[in-house]
Amino acid sequence: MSLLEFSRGPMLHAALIIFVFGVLWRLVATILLSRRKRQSEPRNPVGKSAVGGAIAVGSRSWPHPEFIGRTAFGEAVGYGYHLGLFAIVLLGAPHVVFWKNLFGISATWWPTLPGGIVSILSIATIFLMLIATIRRMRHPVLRRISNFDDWFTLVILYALMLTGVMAVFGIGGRYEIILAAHIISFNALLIWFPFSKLMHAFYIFPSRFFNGYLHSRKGAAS
Amino acid sequence: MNESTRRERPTIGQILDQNGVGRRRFLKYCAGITALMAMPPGATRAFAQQLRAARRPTVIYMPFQECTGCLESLTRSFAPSLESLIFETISLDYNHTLQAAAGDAAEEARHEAMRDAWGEYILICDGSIPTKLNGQYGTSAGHSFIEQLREAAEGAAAIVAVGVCASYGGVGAAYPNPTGAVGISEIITDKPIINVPGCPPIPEVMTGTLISFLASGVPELDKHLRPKAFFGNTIHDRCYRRRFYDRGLFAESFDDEGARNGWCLYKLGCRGPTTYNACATIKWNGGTSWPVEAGHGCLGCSEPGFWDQGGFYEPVTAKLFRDSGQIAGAAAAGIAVGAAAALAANRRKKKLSAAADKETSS
Amino acid sequence: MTGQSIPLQIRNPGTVPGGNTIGGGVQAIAFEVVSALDKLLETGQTSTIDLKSLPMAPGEFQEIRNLLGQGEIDITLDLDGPTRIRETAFAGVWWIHHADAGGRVLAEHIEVSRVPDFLVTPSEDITQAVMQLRARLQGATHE
Repeated sequence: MSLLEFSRGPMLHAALIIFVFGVLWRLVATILLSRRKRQSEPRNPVGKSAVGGAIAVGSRSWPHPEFIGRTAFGEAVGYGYHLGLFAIVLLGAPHVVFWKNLFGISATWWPTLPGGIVSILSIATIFLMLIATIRRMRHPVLRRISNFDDWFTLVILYALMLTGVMAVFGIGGRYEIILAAHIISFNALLIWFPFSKLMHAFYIFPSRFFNGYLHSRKGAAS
Repeated sequence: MNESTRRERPTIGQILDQNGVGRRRFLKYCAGITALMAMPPGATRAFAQQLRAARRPTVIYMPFQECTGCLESLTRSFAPSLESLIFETISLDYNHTLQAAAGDAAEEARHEAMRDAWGEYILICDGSIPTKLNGQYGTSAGHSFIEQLREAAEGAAAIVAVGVCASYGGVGAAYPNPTGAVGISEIITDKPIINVPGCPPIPEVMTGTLISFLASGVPELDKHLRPKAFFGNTIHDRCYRRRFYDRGLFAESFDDEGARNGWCLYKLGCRGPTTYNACATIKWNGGTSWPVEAGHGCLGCSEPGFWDQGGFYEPVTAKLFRDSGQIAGAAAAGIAVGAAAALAANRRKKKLSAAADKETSS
Repeated sequence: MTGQSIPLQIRNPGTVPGGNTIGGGVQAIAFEVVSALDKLLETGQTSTIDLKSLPMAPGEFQEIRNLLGQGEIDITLDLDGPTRIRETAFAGVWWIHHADAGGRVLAEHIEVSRVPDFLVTPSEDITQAVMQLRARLQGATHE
């Protein structure tokens, strides 16, 4: 079995199994853990509280005006590479083809970006991640609180991005090896995902929603 | 006997002179060959010199577990004129399909040809070698293919494994490989082997490889023992539709607008990016066309295990596993474990807080 | 380029899939020809551009032919099939076309040189010619 066959065969299968298992475990456990009888009198009905939750998802996605001065740079870089990654992963033609095949859907409405734009975005995203990494290494606080989770996640992300760029630009050796390396990096991401900070992808919006919902229920501002 | 026979054997140049083939005529033929091998046209004269100096070789052609497609492809390359002359000089001394003789007489003829040219003959093989049941899945003249191959390879100067079956096992080796089919290079390890894969290989690639061997011995090979002159680039790197790939213009289904505009066939399963062959430049049927130009994605037929790479109409990055509920099972297990963990944690919390209450109250 | 008509059979006039051939393939080859001509003038070194191995969309081949046009010299040989050596409209740029008896193209390239290499007579042929002519002359004087 060649490396490419292995990477998109048994390894991908195993990675998906671990990913699904792990993510659902953590999500379900986290949601159920917080289930308890809330003793305070509800000031708002469930519907209005839910709206409050939805608003919180938006409002907490943007820094408070008081803090913008200090956090703007970090926020901008973060948003930058997140948006770049989403654009590449969800709108890049080879990725769209991969998702459609993985989920077995035809989805002819799913648009794709021209290859040139995706290439530019890839370089920009890697650049932004580099800035974020250097910041993490030099910032007096970030440096001290960064742990294995932070660094290892970065290693996997760089492996993914670099092999992706190498595959698209045809550099670094035989294409089928680089493609296999890219898919293996993705498998590594899937396996590492549920046990790492990457879970923020699934936590972030429910977390903000619950916060806003609970505050609304209690009649507090969020 | 061998030394004098060898010295007596004429060079290709002598044969050409004897047959009144002028140098310019031969130069034209060589121009075709060097173009085929992507050598610069300026190298033609030197190549012609080398080829003229080569001696008339003996060629033994042994078919094994094959469909004869490779031989059919090879014989289609025999255009009348200089090429057939050259290949007459090669004296195809043994070939089941092409020769008139059969049975013991044919076998004896083969042995005689081998003896006469011991250490110098070219052995061309097509078809895979079955290895299960002690090789009994393939027998001829009372011997298994393994035995026949070993015997024929003993005195060969070089072995050319033609077709993807002889190179890596091919269709015989496709899952579940009931005969234990393998390529020639897995049985013979002590002779120079040149793989010329394809299903079938392009005829000009086969003849070009043989001519190149005559002129200058074993050519530069890649890690799969394929001549780099023909298998050095991927189809993707030489495809005329590459500009559409780069601009993200793909055919979404056969005969849609994209397909009719000649756009890239990546989404329709083209294996071009991972396939090394010369189809995009040399093309098929004497340069008429090739699969992508005809509107169908590359099958990757010159790569190892190409039959087992998933559906031909799925992209080269498609998943290659069949999930029979494992992922759904993992999901259910995840939910169950999550719920159990939360439940256990909550119970423990209650117990701890109850114990703490008791402490403070007592 | 204007006024140069090439006496060639065009197989599929105007039917190019999609209509527009993207990419500067034709321009790239033309630029290569220009730099090859420069090299020829400066160093005397000849160059060749193999057309058979370039991935070209069906229309581009015709475009290159049109671009290079036709010069004064047009030689057709029958050597186991047609071989055509044409000077293009640009001096020093030759279009070499080799086909076999069945019309299948064996080689097609652009050569940048003072005289195409194929036309240069090999020394062995000249040696043979000397012998043959001498023999003829000796035969004549003996009569």
